[in-house]
This record gives sequence, structure tokens and C-alpha cells, in this order.
Amino acid sequence: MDTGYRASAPTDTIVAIATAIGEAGIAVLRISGPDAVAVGQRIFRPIGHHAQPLSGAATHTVHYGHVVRDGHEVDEVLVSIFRAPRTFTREDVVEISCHGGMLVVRRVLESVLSAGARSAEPGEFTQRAFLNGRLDLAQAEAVADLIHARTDLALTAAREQLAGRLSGRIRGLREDLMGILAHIEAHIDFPDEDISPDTREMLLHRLQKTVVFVDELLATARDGQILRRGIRAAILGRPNAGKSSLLNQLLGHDRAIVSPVPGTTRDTIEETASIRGVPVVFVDTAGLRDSTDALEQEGIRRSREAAERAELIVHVLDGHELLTEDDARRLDDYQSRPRVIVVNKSDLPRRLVLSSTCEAEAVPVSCSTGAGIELLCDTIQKRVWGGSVTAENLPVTINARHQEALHRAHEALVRTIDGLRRNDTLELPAFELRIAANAVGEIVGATSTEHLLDMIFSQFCLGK
Amino acid sequence: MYVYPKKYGVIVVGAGHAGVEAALASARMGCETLLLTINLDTIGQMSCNPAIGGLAKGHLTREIDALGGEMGLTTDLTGLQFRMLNTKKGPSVWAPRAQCDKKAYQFRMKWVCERQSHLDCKQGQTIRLLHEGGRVFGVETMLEVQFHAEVVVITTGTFLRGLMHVGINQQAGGRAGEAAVMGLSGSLKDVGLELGRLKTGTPPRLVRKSIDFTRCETQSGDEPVPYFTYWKEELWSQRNVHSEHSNTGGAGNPSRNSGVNLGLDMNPTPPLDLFHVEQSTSPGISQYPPGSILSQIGGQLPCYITYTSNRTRELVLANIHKSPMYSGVIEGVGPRYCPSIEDKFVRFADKEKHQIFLEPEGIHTDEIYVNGFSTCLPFEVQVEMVRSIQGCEHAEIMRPAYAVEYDFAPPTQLHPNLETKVCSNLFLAGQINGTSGYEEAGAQGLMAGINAARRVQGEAEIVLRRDQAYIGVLIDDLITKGTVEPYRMFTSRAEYRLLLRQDNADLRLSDIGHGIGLLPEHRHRRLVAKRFAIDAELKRLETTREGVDTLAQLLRRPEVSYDKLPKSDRSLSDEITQQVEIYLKYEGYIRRQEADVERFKTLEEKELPNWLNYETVQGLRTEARVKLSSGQPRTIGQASRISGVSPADISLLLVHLKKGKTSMNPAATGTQS
Repeated sequence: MDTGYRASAPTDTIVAIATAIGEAGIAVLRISGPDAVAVGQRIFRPIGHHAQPLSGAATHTVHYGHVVRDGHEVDEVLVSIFRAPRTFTREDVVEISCHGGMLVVRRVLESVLSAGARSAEPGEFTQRAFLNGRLDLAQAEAVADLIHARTDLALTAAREQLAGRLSGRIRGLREDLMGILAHIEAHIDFPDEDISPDTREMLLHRLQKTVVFVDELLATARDGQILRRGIRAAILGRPNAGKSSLLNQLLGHDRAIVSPVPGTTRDTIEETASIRGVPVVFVDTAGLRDSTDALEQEGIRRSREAAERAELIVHVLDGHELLTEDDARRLDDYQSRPRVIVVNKSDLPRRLVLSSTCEAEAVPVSCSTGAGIELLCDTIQKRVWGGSVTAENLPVTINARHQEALHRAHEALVRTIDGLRRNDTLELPAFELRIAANAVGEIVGATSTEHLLDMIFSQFCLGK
Repeated sequence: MYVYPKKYGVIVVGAGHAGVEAALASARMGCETLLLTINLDTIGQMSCNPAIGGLAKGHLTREIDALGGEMGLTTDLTGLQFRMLNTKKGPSVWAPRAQCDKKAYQFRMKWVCERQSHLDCKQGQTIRLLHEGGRVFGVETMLEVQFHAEVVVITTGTFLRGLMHVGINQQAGGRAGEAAVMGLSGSLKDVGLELGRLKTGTPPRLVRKSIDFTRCETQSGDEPVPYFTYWKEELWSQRNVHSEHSNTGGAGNPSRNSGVNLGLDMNPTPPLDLFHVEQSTSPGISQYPPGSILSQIGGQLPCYITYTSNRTRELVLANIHKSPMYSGVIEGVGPRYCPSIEDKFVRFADKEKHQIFLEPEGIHTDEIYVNGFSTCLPFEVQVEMVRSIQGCEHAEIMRPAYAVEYDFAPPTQLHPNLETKVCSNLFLAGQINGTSGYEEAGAQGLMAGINAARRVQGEAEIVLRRDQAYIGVLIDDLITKGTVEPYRMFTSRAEYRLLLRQDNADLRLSDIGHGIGLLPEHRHRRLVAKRFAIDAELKRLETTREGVDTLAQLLRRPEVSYDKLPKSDRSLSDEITQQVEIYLKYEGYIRRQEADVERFKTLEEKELPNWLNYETVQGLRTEARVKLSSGQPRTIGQASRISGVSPADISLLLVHLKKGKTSMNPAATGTQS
């Protein structure tokens, strides 16, 4: 067993919400550190005939019960116990699966904090896993993405990377490059030998295939960024057009204060919803309406700012009312921006009249019945991707560091190919190709001369 | 027991290719040096193929020459065939190679050692190291004679517990016909060195008259001869192999010019003239160096290429069980780049025939070396196998092939100056460090000799960097990565290959050789003049125009060579125009590699302090912790090349060091151990 790290392992116990915030359903809190089990025990009251204190629980077991704070039940939960070292961080880990929804999760979290854990820094679990020798660099980065991943699709992509798909693919690329390099080096280092490494034409052919592959990897970079970071969408519209109701429909739970009194939403509210797998950060704004109320004026100022910063505008109109001057102006103002026009209250008689171009863009919905929400989601997805993206045709996501390294590899590969085409003497393409291999190696671990020599000796019968 | 009254600065044990360079370097730097060998008749013996150079090895040889070593000069004077390999590729991977007269090579080396001032050559078998308190102070021989010295360099090659195999027949010995050294291994273990086991092999030697060379392809030498040495004038100006020689090496410092016949020394030539040559070869200068093998035979000898046959393959496969390699008798690991013929047929089963080179071993012998045919199958199988080679149908074996197993000291136990970590003032060089090849041995011997002398003189160690020399790559690889098979140099091991060319070793290294008192003054003057001539011509090309372009711009074009350049200076020697041309044509690449060198320099040279305790570095993986603790790298650069140390480990180390500056340094005024 690997025990070398224990002496220097971190000594405190940390906690964080491990699932995306704001998602419905289940949320998971993860506690890691030497006191993880003790902390769990302090807040957990088991239910059932076989109930036992957590401190005596075997590793990799699940327990049913309540989180209790000050004698009050906070939530009904499942608690999983993972004892070191076979855990994500190689420390003792306790995971609490509670009900989703901000309030509940927050209260469970507070209970854990009051029981002696401290709030984890961003990425601290990954850091511990990495420091404790559990993850390699690419995997650690994938976990960071996983932590930041806000939706199911992003989670899938990040999980796949964690499972080594990115590492696997890039390792494959590195093997290809080293294989080609082995042929070139065999030409160079063993000129008197009776061997026949690939000709320039064959090398060119193989190199071109790797360039295409790097291109494909790079193409996923933008998608990966969207998946990780999400896009910002501003919900605009005059007061009581149904912006907050729409947001709640999209989120699937009551988050914004919905009230028939215009102007209830005075601040901007940010919520992340998974729209067809894309994390969309909706910024719900105060209604766009001139107001003398100082508070509301501030809200309006913020909403304009939010609209400026957004990558997508969701303009909500009231289908039951005539087009106001304000809305007409906004339709004009944002016509060149990526946007979706939502005509709300489709369950009521339509009074709104739009220009034919706007009408073509419009999606009728009813926030009270939920009608049209699916169509709206499809429309948003189309705006974001310009096409459909699913986890299946999104093999890997690459982060900025990978992207930069792949760019360098790409450039070096192009120079390698140019050099071979120009009939440069072979040590020059070899020099460029090694740069490419090293750049790729930065992602999945260094390339070594020994590795190269292994390849040469395994492929060619060398030696006098 | 008798203690020899003369106390030496440096004792070199073993007089092979490492030992000779070590002893000569130390003596030339002015240290009283003793070269101790089992047999004075085998100084500089070429136990395997009598060839020097080839890819990367040629680079090493020229570097040895540039620093002030002897291998290049001896090769030039005793070679019987010279070729420049790889000329279809770029200049960084050109490589000189020479087939030598085995006996002439070794006698010239012996003679150079004998005449070297400050150097005593003595016959005696070392059985024991003398050491006290982790520091060596001499050696004891079989005759119970003790020689005392400040520094001891061990260069025992394959002789430590050498065990030779032919079939199931085993015989102790470091080389056919010579005894092994049994006692010294124990003594090395006694000082705390770990030993491992390696294996190498050598092919059979055939007699010339029994071979039908008409059935082989002829491989001729190159003319003009691509000599190894940068001090070519000396090949002609000295009388190198006859009896009334001058002192070849100069007599230590400071009056190194005491050589009697060193024409260049006596004649302070104005710098530039050395590199301006007459159009035709000057009359009176013979084509080949006087006294050299080439001058004795008036030209070069050919080598021959032939192939194995189906019959060879059948014989190997039918008898494979008789090979000690395959029956498991041999435990040592052999080199992959120098496989036995058994290995070739087994590992590359789809390859029907293998190329074989038939190479003469000398001009006064008819022994032919069968390059590519090393084996340890029984003699009776060898006889048949040899006769299955095309042209060798009636060949007679003079010496059978054999494999040899020997002890080596895994080189991760060494500091970058080749001193052992466990015992101060004890240096190891050559095959004992797990390398293979005369050039690798010579390079280490030279550096061990230099650093032994530096220790005696109380001067700082000389460690060549990876961007400076193949020698730097070699030693850095050995001490940081160790080796699991006999280590051989390849150009692909050098990350700065475009900078480390065989044509510029003098420009890279001769200042260093001169600075430490090894390279004689007259050679350094030549270097300075050469550099001056290159710079002057580069400046002229940059400032002289032909039409709108400068000459430099024209020469940068791929299709333009210096010869075709308008307004080229016909009086400049090839040595200068070649440098000018390479510099201009590869400037972009050279600049990029130089930029790389700079970029990695900060990390490469970032020192790991003595107080660093890897147990306290948070997050290091156990493997990295163990490897770093035992490897004791001096710099982050070295640490990063240790196998099992990942980039993540290096990041953690860097973080730790940053923290350590404030909190974790118990001995900020730390003493050097």
C-alpha cells in the first residue's frame, strides 16, 4: 500500500457541495479529511433496525437517516462512508446525498460546517487527490472541470475525461508522433543499417493524419468552454411580462419571487439551468420600465448592464398586451444580437402584433401552463451551438492549457510537413516533430528519449 | 606489505580507453599520475571492433579531441579506413568513422602515455581500494604493494568478475585470453557501492584468405580523409609514430610549450594565415600524415558488406537452446542496439537475412572482424553459421565469438563530476559505469581525469552541460537516469542536436580545455584564429552586396553553396567556409535551439539545496520521493530527468523550495557536504 504520502497529507477536514448548485433533485455534499467520519457522525441520526453510528461503519457503505442540527431534522439523507485510501482524495471521505434546492443544501452545508469541517477552497478536493498521488495532471484538470461543470452534459464530458478519454486520445497522439519520430531518427542514427524506415511520402501521409486529429481536438475546445463555463443569457422584458415565471419554468423550481405586482424583481437574479445540456446562466433583470423609484432605477440600470454583457438575450413579451414603446425600442436595439423572442401568455388571447421578421423569431409560451417551454429550449440550444451537440459526438473537452499545447503541436507539425516537402535534411523535420511531441507530452506526461529508443529498437533490427 | 614511496595526485586503475584519457588528462594538467594496469601490452586495447566514431560516437571523439584528449589523434594516425557517415543529411548528424589498425592504435596510445610527463605507467593488478572515513587514499595490488594518492579513478571496463560464455562453456576473464579481476568488486562494495551485472558480446574473427570477397560488396573510404582531430597540422608537423618523438602532450603547466618539435609552438603564425590555403596542395606535404597507417599502405583499405542466408537462420533457430542467453545462464542485460545474431533472428523473425560487415583488424594481420555477427552459441555451431554467410563458405574462424558478463556500478551513484557519492575522491569512468563503446569510455575517462586533477588542485569541478556537449548529455544521462543496458550514445539523445555538431566541437569546448590547462596553448591559438576568421568572413558576407542581396542572403538560399557564391573568398580553408555556410543556412534553427537553451537554463540551473529533505515535501509520490532521495540531484533540471519523477513532482518541489526560503530552511548557512 502506498503510505508514503500520509506523513505530509493535509490535516484538516473540508466540505463542499459536490453537485451543481441550483439543480433540482439530489445534491451531494462531500467531506474529506481525517475527521470526515467524526464530522458526519455529529450531524447524522440513522434510521432503521440496523442503525449504527457512522464511526463504526465499514468503508464503502451507505446509510439512511437524517441530518440533525440543534435537535431539528434538516433533511432526509443517504450518507456514504469511504475510508482512506481507496477514495477520491485518498483521505477519509463522507458523502451526504440530500434533496436538491438551494435552501436545503445550504442548511445541510451549514450543519456540516458547524460540526467542525471547513469550507473547501475551489478545487481543493482535486488538489488533495493530486497531492496524495491519486490523479495525474490531465485527470486533475478534468476533475476541476467536473467541479465547475454545471449540467449533465458537461458532467458527462468531464467524467469521460476523468475516465481517461482525453488522456487516452492524447496519449495515442503522442504515440503516433513518437512512432513517426522513431522512423526519422532511425534514418538519422543508423545510416549504415540494413533497415527501411518509412519514406518521406509515408511519413508525410502519417503526419497529415495527425494534423487532422489535432484539428479535431482543437475544434472541441470551444464546445468544451461552453460546456464548462456556460453562456450568459439576459432575460429582458417589461414588468410583469413573465420574466421570473419563465425563469422558474426553465429552472423547474421556484427561485425568483413571482408576484402579479409589477416590479417585484428589483435585483438581478442569476440562475443556471441546463438547457438541452448547455449550462445557461440566466440573468433575470428588473423590468425595463422607466421608474422614479430609486431602488427600481438601480435595478433597471443593472438589467441594462446585464443585457450588454449577455451572450444571449431572451426578450419576454406579453402576448396578451399590445406592443409597448419600450418593447418596440428593445426589439430594435437588440436585433443584431443573438436573441430569442418569447411571447408569453399563449394561454390567453393574443393581442400582441409584431413585425413579420420579429414574428418569425418569436416562440409562443405559457409560463402558467408550461406550454411551449420545450420549443423554447430547442430554440435556445440552436442559438448556442448553431447545431445540436450531444455528449456522443463530443468525445473530449479540452481546457485552455491543453488548447495552447495543442496549438503549439499543430504549428510544429505544419513546420515538420513543410520541411519534409521542401526536402529539408531530416534532422530539421525531426527537430520540429520533437517540439510537437513534447507539446503533446505536456498534457499527458513527458516524452522521453528512452521511450523513443524503445520504439526504434522494437521496430527495427539494428546493431552490428 | 610495501608502500610505494612516491605519493601520487591521481591513480588511474585500468588502461583502457577511459583509463588512458583519464591518466593523460590528469598528467597534462600537471598532476603526478599513476596509470596502473594488469597488462601493459593491452593499453588502449580495442576488445571488440577496432573502429572509432560513427553516429554520436564520432561527435564524442571530436569533443574529446577539442578538450585536449588523445583518441582523435591516435585514430587519425592509426586508421586504415575513414568515412564521413550521413552526408546526405544535415551537418549536425554527419559523423566521422574510422576503422583502425588494432595493434597500431594500442601501441600508439601506450607510447603516448609512456612519454607523457608527470605520468608513470605500471603493471600491477589492483585488488583493494585503500580508504578511511569515506575517503579513498590509494590502492593495493596483488603483490601487496600500496600506492597512495589523493584521488583514485577506477576504469576497469568488463574485467570486474568478468565471465565469458561460449555455449555452455564458461570461463572467468574480462577479455578472451585475459584474466578477470575478482577482488576489486568486493572492495567497491566495501566502500558502499552497489554493483549490477551487464552483458556484452563480440563476434568471431576470420582469416582473410578463407573469405571470398568477390561475393561481397566493397565499401571504400572517403577522400579527402575526414580526420577526427581539429589539430590536423600536428598530424604532419609531428613525427607521431617513429622512435625519435617529441613530447606529444606538453609538460603540464605553466610552460606547456616545452615540446621540442611542435612546429606550431615555435612559430607564432599570424592568426588568419592558418586558414588561408593555397589552391593546390603544397609540394613537399605528403598526402597522409607521416608514419600513419595510411602513409604506410599508401591509401585506405576497403571493408566489405555481405549477408546471412536462410541456412544461417535455420542454424540459429535449431540451436537457440544452446545459447546461454536463451537458456537463462546469462543473467546480465545486453545492449539492444548491439544484439547477438540469435536475438536478430528471434526478435525479427520475418526478416530473412541480416547485413554483415567484414572489416580488417589491421595492416599487419589478416584477421577479419565479422561486424553484426556477435553470438555466444557453441563453437561448433559458430563454425557452421559463419560458413552460411555469403562469401564465407570456406571461412576459418581464428577467434570464436563470445559473450562476457561483468559487474558494473549503476552510475546514479555518481556526482556529475563522476566522483562516487559514497566515497569522496573516488571516481569511476568507462564501462564500469554501464556504458558501452570506446568513445563513451574515453569521454568519461577524460572528464574523470580532469575532475580528479581539479580536486587535487583544489579547483572547482568541470561539468559540461547538455547544451554544450554530447559528453554532457552522456554523463547527465548516466547520473540522473542510470541505465539498464550497456549505454550507447545516439544523436537522438541530445535535445540540442543542431548545436552539438561534430564540426564545431572545438568552438564549443576548446576554451574550456585550455582554461583548465589541458589543451596546449598553440591549439588554443589556432582556435582563436579560426573563430576570428569565421567572424571576419561572416561580417564580409553580411556587408558585401551582389546586386540587391548581400552575400549572406544569397548563401542562405538552399540552392547556393559557398563554392557557388559570387565573390567567395577562394583562399579560405574549407574548415572556415563550412562554418560560415552552416551558420548562415541554419541560423534560424540554431537561434531557436539557443533560445530553448536560455529558456530552460533558469530551471536547469536552479539548485536543489543541501538541506532539502524529500520526506518533508508535501504531496510527492513515494516513487519520486525514493528516487530523489537516492539520486540526490543537484539541480531541478537533473531532478526532472530522473525516471519516475513526474512534472507534477517537479512543480511540488518548486513550490516547496519557495516555501522553504521562509520557513523550512534549518540551515540557511548550510555547509557543503
